[in-house]
Amino acid sequence: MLRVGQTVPVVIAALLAAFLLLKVVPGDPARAIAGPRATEEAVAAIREDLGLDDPLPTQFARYIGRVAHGDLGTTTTGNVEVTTLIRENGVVTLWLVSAGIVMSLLFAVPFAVFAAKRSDRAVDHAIRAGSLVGLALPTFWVGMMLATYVALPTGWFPVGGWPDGTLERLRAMILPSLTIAVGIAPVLIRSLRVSLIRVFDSDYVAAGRSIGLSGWRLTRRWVLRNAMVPVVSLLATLMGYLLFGAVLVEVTFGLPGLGQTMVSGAVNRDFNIVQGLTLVLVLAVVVINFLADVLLGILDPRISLR
Amino acid sequence: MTRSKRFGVAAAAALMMVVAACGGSDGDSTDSSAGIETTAASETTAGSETTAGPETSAPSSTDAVAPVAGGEITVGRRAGMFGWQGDLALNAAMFQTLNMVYGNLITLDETGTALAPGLAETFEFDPAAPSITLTLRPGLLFSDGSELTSADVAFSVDQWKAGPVNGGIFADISSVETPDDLTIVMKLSRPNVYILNVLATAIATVYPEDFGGKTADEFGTAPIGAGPFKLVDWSNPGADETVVLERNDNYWEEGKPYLDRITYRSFSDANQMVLAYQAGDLDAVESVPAALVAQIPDGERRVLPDGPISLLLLNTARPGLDNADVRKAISLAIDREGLTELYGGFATAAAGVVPVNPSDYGAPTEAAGYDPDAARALIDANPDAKGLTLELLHGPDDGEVAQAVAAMLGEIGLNVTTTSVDSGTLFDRGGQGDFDMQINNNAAWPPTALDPIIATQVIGWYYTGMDAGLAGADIEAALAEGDPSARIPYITSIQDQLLEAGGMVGLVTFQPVFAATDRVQGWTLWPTGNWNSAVVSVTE
Repeated sequence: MLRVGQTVPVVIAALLAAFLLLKVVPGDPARAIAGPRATEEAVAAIREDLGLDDPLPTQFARYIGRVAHGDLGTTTTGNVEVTTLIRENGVVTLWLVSAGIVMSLLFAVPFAVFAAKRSDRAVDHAIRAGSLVGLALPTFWVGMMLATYVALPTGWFPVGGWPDGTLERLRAMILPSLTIAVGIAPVLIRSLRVSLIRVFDSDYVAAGRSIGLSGWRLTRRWVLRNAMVPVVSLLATLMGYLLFGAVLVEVTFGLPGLGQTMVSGAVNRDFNIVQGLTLVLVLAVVVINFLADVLLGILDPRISLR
Repeated sequence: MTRSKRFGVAAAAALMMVVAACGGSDGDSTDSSAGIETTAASETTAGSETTAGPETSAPSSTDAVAPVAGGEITVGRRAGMFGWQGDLALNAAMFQTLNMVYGNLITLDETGTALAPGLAETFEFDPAAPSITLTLRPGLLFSDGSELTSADVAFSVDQWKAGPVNGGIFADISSVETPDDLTIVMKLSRPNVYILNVLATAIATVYPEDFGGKTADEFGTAPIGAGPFKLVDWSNPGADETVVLERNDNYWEEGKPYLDRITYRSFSDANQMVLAYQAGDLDAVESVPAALVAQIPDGERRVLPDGPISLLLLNTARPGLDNADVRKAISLAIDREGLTELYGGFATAAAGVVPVNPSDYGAPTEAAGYDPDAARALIDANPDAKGLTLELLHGPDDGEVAQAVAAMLGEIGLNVTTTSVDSGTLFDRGGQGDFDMQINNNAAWPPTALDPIIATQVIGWYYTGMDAGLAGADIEAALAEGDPSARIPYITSIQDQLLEAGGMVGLVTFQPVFAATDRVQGWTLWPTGNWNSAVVSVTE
């Protein structure tokens, strides 16, 4: 309950920040709607219609009141309920983030184990250098390269878009998730490798070896479980980052996810989209971190006792 | 090989694949352009007469195939729809798509330069009355099967006039009379042929009376029109939306449209759009960015010879810029031919300040020239201008042009800083007069140069603050002239006066590049950048 209580001020602070941020940045949403040819009178009429001339506290209070009733408003473009937009586009982002995390783990775990077992040998150095390269590659560039030089010539994967059907969506997720993995896996590899080396050198692993445990059984049951504790914390942080940061991958592969929606809303000064998404994404990050704490407690019962 | 080794090798191979992919070729880099050409034509609108000029379009190589009914195409574009009300028509996507759903009272002929009968089979502009009289085709139906009559048009005129964005265009319509179900008489408070031309655009969409029983908001997301297509889906409105249009079986043109379905996909990333075209996911693309044109095969490019114009707007209320000599110096310092290179050759140097595509375009008597020595002399002779520091605002797509303009002005002794802002901020600061200089565009959506002239006049000559009465007599005279060719001298005179005042400096005229595969037939661009969806077909 304490954890849940702690989230309330976080959410309110995030809402307030998003609300004020859009107010202080230059650019009038009414002008953005009206376009370049509209007269000042026309812009003023739109401002009045949107309630933008009301005092800021009035506008914020009106927004909070609506949110309390589950109403995040409607979009300026298309008059779509923001909740509907979040529900539909959130599915795409969930697919992307999940696939990205899975792909990252598929790369990170074997490479980290491999490097940790051969610590300070050539292969360890090669993996660490390789992960540095991956970390340095711009996400947008990696995505463009994969789409241009893998998807386009081979036709194995779509160059972009969000198709219908589960199998087609899985296929459409491979290159975007690989793009995410190129950026995320190096962080996981380096974190997990350090953790694994520490665990490999621990007394209880030595004890395990002394009773005849070895190979994958020792690694999986005794080493990985303990070494994963810091990785889970890191993953929770990365998932929060990905919820906001997946926008580049979404743009590159034409995926209509929340990141793109957020950017589009910000550019168009669509207050309801930005505020609604901020609220939902902040809540998502809070929930993910809460779940990560629970998982950490399962992996290492000592944590929950603290 | 141990299991961990196999994992390592597989993962390394995957990474190698990524790295190897980076070293591939960069594809087709040819840049010659093929496609259509359009030229201005004469057009008269006395009575119901409309005469088109010579057909000069060069259709793509497969356009000789007789059109076949059926099939569908998917079209990519950068922008999305703001809504389905004509008042919101602000960009190419809106003008094109609203036409497809609503049709127009007046349309354009096959060259796209002359007015032609649309929902109205005759139209007459009478400057003496003054009035515009339209006669609807008998038996017109909306896509839901309901009848389209003069009462619907009268209701629509009220909506147009009430529009917060484009409503001012129709202010001269003092009343609308509907003597019978087919006749509409728009009484004007002054002669205004511009309104006649606007009837050929998406701004003047015809709605069912009382929105067919819906509220305006309901109708705005589920419109009913009398165009060749009807809207069946509009998902994820915004930068990555999908719009699905299906054949309107009640469309008035016999046997048209040919296509059963057109799907529009919007892309916030131009690279992704071109990739989708290359992958065969798109049959056509509306407006390919100049930097990506090389990726479109020569034979699939459709180049519009003259599109929107790029303008350097000078705030004449700002110190320094309030001096006519300084404004003249700035214009003389611009190497317009040099700027065209920034558009990959798909642009031409602007001679004036008005887009050149309308049939009544009149070139300025003397084109804006490039003379840095004369520009420098003007600055040197003006002590207040020497060392003047100015901020140049520009949109995200105009960064390179802004840098080039700043460098050119630096050559004559002006200190120019550039600031990139989003379009909303650009318009907002322009409207409030909170800028020194900005780069912005202007286009002619109806086939008359009066459109970009009047549109900029009503917003303080595009935020520059030039005298609102500038060129007033010529504008009035042009508004009263129904013959486009007879308007040309007035447009020339207006341009001369605008160039003399110097608040707007023409930079370049874009040549938008569209793309369509050989599968797409009859996809011919009008000079406005729109295309007639009713005549497009596919080969299979």
